[in-house]
Amino acid sequence: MKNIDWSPWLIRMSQGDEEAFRKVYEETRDHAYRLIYYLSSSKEDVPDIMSEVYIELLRSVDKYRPEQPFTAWFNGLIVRQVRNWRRKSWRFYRIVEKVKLMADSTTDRKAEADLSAIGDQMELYPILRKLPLKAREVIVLRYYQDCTLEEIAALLHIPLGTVKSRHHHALKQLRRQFEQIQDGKEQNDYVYREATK
Amino acid sequence: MSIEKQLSEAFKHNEASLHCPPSLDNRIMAEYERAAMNKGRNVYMMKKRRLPKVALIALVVALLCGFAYGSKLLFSDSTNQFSYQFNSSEAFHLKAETLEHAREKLQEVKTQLAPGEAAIVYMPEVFKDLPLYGVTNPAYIANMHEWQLVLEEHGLTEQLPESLLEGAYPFKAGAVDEHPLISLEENEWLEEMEAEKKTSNNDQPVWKLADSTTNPIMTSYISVFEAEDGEAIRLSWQIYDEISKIEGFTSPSTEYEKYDLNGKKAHYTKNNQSLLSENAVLQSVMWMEEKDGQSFIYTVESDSPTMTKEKLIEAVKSLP
Repeated sequence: MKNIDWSPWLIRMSQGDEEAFRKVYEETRDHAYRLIYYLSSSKEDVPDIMSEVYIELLRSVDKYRPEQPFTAWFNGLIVRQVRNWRRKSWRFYRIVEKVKLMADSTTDRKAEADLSAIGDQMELYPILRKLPLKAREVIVLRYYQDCTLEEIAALLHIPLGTVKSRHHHALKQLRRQFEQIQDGKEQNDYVYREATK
Repeated sequence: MSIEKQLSEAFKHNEASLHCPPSLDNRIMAEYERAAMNKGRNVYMMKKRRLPKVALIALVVALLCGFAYGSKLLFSDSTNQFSYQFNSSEAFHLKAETLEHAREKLQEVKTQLAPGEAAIVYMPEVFKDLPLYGVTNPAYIANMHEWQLVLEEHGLTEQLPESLLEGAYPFKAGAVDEHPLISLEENEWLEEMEAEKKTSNNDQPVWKLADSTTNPIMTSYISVFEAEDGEAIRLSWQIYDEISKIEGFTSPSTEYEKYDLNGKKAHYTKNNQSLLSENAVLQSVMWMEEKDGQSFIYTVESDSPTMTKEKLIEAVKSLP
């Protein structure tokens, strides 16, 4: 996300200026999209959460204070929306399936196809998705957003000790899963060579 | 390579190829226009739009729960984008003492709620698969003009009658009922409430306040009309703009009749196992219409013991 002075745009946006909203959206959409993509539990939810994020941005833009770094404030808003969405999806997932079967989702199909294609490229991605959301938040903010652990604590409103603990356990889990995958590959390779002898 | 380094590189590698698809731009801008239009005059519409469409189905299970998982179709109806199906099942018939117990507990919680508050009540003894129940204490507005203003604020332009049945049932009060939605799946409160129940040494119901800003809700706009003798009729409106299908469930003891009222298909039910109404027998007439792409569900109901089916049907016919 570009390092620009957001305040004038956000003030105009809060006053109902559509051009300002468009500007903020265009400057932030890829950032928001990636962050939601990494944090959400299901690729199918990304377009819906994206929509929730921008509605929430519009609702809460009045609360933004210019002395705050916008990226951190916006990241906090995204994290909260992903958490809320997760809760909703979890409660109602049976019904989601029913509705989705019947609803016209043509607009989001391309997005889903794009996501599937991209998701396959990242080897760590499926492992990342296996992490609990709280651990995933710390990992994504630390290694995607380059936040320090102190910044993550401030953004998530949790003690630094909790962030350190989640970070430690998440890395441990990731390392273990990554090693298992590597072992699996090596074993497959071995079997293949044995079979072709 | 360390796991930290691998993570950083994987994120960096993906950044160049992971972009917001253009198909989302139109959707977000359309959402913006709708939300911006509502921001000044109608925050409630924004709140409603943010509800998951899926939530609405679950509520019916909890609300109409006279109760769930039906196998026999009582009736179904639909508009262009919305369909409603009502089933009955022997599996959800309540014994008289269980019904009485559940109604009593829900009422007990309700009396502890301030006007406008909602609660989730833990009662695994009623149905094993449905341990949580929503209960609300709507904040009623007695002044009809004020109530009309509230309806307008919520985007409702339906004509509110001053009375029903030629003045016999004048307007008494109106309220926005925000009923908490309960999932059929486990949810985050269940464990907490189970534990609380285990440690409590009394038969008081375990419950917690529901927060309508974080908990999905289903909104009904209820207007109550009451005769001099206290017999009451409730007219309620629900609006759906996204949902595709609702499934409701009831006990096989529920009576059903189909009516043609002023050219509209209407569904009369008499449920003698209602959990949430003041009396266990709840008579209801429901019909639906589609206006400007939204589906409106109208319900005229009464739990007054002296109310007759004929009178309720006449009340529907007398509506403007």
